[in-house]
Amino acid sequence: MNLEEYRTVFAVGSLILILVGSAPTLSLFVPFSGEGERFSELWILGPGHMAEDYPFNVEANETYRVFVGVGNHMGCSAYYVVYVKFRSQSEPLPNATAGTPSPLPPLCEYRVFLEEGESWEAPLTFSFSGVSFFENQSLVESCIMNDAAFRVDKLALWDGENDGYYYQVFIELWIYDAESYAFQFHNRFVGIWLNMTGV
Amino acid sequence: MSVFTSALRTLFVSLVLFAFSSLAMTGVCAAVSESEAELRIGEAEKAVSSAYVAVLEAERSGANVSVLLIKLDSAGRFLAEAHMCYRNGDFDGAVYYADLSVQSVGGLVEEAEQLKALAIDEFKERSFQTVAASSLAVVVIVLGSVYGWWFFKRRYFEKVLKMKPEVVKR
Repeated sequence: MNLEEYRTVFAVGSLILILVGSAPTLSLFVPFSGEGERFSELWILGPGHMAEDYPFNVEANETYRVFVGVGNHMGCSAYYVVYVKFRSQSEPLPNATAGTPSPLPPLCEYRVFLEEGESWEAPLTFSFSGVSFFENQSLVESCIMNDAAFRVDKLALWDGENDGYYYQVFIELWIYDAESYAFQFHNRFVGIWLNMTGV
Repeated sequence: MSVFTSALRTLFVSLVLFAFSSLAMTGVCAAVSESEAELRIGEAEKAVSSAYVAVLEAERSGANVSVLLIKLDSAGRFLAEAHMCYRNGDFDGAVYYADLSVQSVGGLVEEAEQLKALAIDEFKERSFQTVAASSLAVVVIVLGSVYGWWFFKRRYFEKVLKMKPEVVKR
């Protein structure tokens, strides 16, 4: 190796050391880490905190229990509202494609503040009263959620394909947008089907 | 006698009227109207949201906001209760929980602002230390490189000058 080549090696080595030495300062102004995907989780678990044994064949005046959960991966603390809604088979669900919530009014709600990476879970108990069947219809007059009674008057037609009167308890996730100072539907929803079997 | 009877009657009528008016007043004072409940829930919503925005700003400045989020969480629970009472037509309950929610976030905005200011100060101090240490490191590396190159070059020339010419046989 001649002197010119030695000089190049020296210069490159020094430059690398300078970059290593100045990296802490550069990191103050240039974000090195990637932001990653931001999302929220929403789930319903069965009575044993597992994705099994969900209530399905239900009847009046029996109390059923599931667990509702939310996980925050939005990169910062988040303010969520979980709306619990009840519908008969013919009523609308949220539209995932359009990102619009169900127009049905919520019966019950949870307001949750979560730090990044944190998750939350709470029990949801429900029962029905004023259930009646006539011709090929079933009527649920009242729904009790977390010990609060709500008049619902939901009518379901007999589903010949699946042999039952079908209703659904579903939850919608809304998130507070600090830019617009308002809640926005977070386009996450999940529900469980219920077959009303008896009075 | 008739004067006495008349006075008694007047007293009785007055007492009855007073009792009725008191009952009516109690009714007016205790019952909360739907619009009043709606208004109070709206105020609670605004208070909780403002507190959350302040906490979020503090967090973005690098503050640890775990304690503030616990307070916000209880305010959120009360607010959810207020909404459920309102939907059920229990306007007294709605106002009660809405007020509890407002109380839960009392002073939270100020706390968040203090934490934010503290976090900004800490960031400034940390930045200064980082920049100072980093600059020192760069200066040491540059000086070391210059000295190293000078030393290396001298050794190199010494080595070259000590070399003896050799005669190559043809």
